[in-house]
Amino acid sequence: MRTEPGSSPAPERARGASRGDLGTIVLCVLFVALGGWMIAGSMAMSPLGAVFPRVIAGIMITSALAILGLRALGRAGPAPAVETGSTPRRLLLCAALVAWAVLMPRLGFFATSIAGFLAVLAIAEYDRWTAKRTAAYIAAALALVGGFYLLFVEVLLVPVPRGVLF
Amino acid sequence: MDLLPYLAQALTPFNLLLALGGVVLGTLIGALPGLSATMAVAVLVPFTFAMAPASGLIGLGAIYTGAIYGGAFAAILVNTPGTPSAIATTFDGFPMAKRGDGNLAVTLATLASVVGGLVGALALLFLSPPLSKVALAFGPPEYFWLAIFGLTLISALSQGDTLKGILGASFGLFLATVGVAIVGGDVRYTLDQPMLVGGFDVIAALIGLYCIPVVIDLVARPDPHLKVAVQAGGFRLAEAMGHCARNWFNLIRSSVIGTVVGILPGAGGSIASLVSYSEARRSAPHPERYGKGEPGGILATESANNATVGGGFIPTLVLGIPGTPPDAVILGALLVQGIRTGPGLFTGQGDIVFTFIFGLLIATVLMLPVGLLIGRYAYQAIVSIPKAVLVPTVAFLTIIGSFAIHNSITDVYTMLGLGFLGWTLARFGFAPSPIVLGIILGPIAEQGFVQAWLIGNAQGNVLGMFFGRPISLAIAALALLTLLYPLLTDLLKARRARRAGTVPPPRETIDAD
Repeated sequence: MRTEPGSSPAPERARGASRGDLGTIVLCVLFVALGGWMIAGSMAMSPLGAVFPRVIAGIMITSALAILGLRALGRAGPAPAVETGSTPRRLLLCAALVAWAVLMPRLGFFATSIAGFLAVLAIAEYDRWTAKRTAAYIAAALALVGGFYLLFVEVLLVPVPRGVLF
Repeated sequence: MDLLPYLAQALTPFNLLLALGGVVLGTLIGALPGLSATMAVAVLVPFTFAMAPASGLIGLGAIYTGAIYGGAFAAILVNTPGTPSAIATTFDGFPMAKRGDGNLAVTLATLASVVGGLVGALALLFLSPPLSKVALAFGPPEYFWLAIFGLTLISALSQGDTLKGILGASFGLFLATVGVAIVGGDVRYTLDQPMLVGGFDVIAALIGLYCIPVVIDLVARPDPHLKVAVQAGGFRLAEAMGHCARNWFNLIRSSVIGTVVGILPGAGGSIASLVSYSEARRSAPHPERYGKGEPGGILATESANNATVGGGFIPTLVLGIPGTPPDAVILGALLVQGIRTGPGLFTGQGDIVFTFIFGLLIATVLMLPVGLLIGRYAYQAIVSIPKAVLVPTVAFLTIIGSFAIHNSITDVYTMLGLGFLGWTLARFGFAPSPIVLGIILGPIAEQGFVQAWLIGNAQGNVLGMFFGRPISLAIAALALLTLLYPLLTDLLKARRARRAGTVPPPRETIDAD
């Protein structure tokens, strides 16, 4: 594994690099599989429709194999930056966004957006919750969601989902 | 050509309002560390769908140029580049702010951004029409090689190593093949899902790839609660203009560098500002002052990054190949509006293009009062916006924005899915820009490739079709050089380091603007 000059402590860098390397290897294997699937899928296409996907698949497989080969030879590229920050908050945010999108057609655009906005706000907040801050945040949520709702629905005439609520 | 009617169209109250509003909004977003110009354009692009094409373009161009400029505030006043294109502005901007010259540095950045923006926009106005005539000579193989050149350039220049850039670009090209083929009509890689028959929507994909990873990473760390040191002494406009006059050659050279870098497909403000900064330092009478608060450093970086705006629009409008990452988003917006970019745009729809160019010039001029006032009176309020409010606002805009493309929840799912995928890939060094460029350039590359292949087959000379035409051969050689350049420089650095007995420095990585 190649070590690089930098300011972070060596063990942390090494751990980050090794995690990054493993992830890169897994992704490259997946890209090789995707390239294989693209070629297999192109067999059922007309020659005109198949030629470009086959070329792309060839480039994808070749570059993924080249990355894997370089790693096998111990010549890794620049290590990805060591990931810092709260992973639980990241995962919670992803879950909140998915729930926001899935519930929107069912519950209605405005209701889901207010709930989603407040949920994401709660995930992003690190400071202590006080009554004043909570009230200010709820007011900000209502003002921003309400303002953009009016802009999109009344001015830009976007037919947003109404759902069972509103 | 009589350009005055187009100037009059750009000066309508609505277009003026769009230029002013776009610059203000772009400056505010660009001033917030963590939010890039590409993200600003991507998140606000749905607002333009209901507008006339020229007005929508003026709004987007103003947001783009404002956001590139806004990045300088955070770079100067809190030592954190607001956008990646302002990274080099921190080198001299923050030392100036530390010694009490922050207001002068902001005024210098504003003047430089206006000069750079004007040079880029004037290049767009005067170079595009003749270039569009040259582009009429381009056939399918030339378009294919241009698309490949754009992909190799962004692969070589973007974050991570070149191979990962190529892999990312090929993944973007794959995403572009999903759905009904543009040549042949085959239904490809849809997994029998009706929602995939139309392919991935370009705008939804761009919003997802550029905005969702930013939002995910914003929640991972607490609000830095940035504080701006109060700077006394007004705008210091006369003093700043004196510096501009003394550095006039630096200013013009950097603006030209920015314009040229902007014209190169895929390369943007971050590259332009670093190149112009190193050139300004190299040729300065006192290079040792650079990095310690030298006004020439700010003038170089800020004029260059704003010049990429006009420069980047040249290949975008003339060839349909985005010059910079935000241009990729704007190109997607034009596709939604039903506008086909390319040489024909200047003859067939000149009113749209020239009205837009004048609108961009107006927006650039408006940056002067807007920037000075925001820098003086509003910047502390901007950086005081709690992250807890900023993150859900951006998330809300991504959801409503992607929904508004076709009034369809499917686009929201596409946006989120590709956003999560983009964040995962970025964790392992796969930058979003090659993927995005793959999605944008995929149809151009495929159409060029298949048509050239068909013509070559019919003539019994496929290789000659791709490699036998002078223009396509030159573009192919440039693409090859772009691919080999990082490898060659790495080899040279390693050889020099071996001779000196040191460890070679890692290659500089550059984020999307």
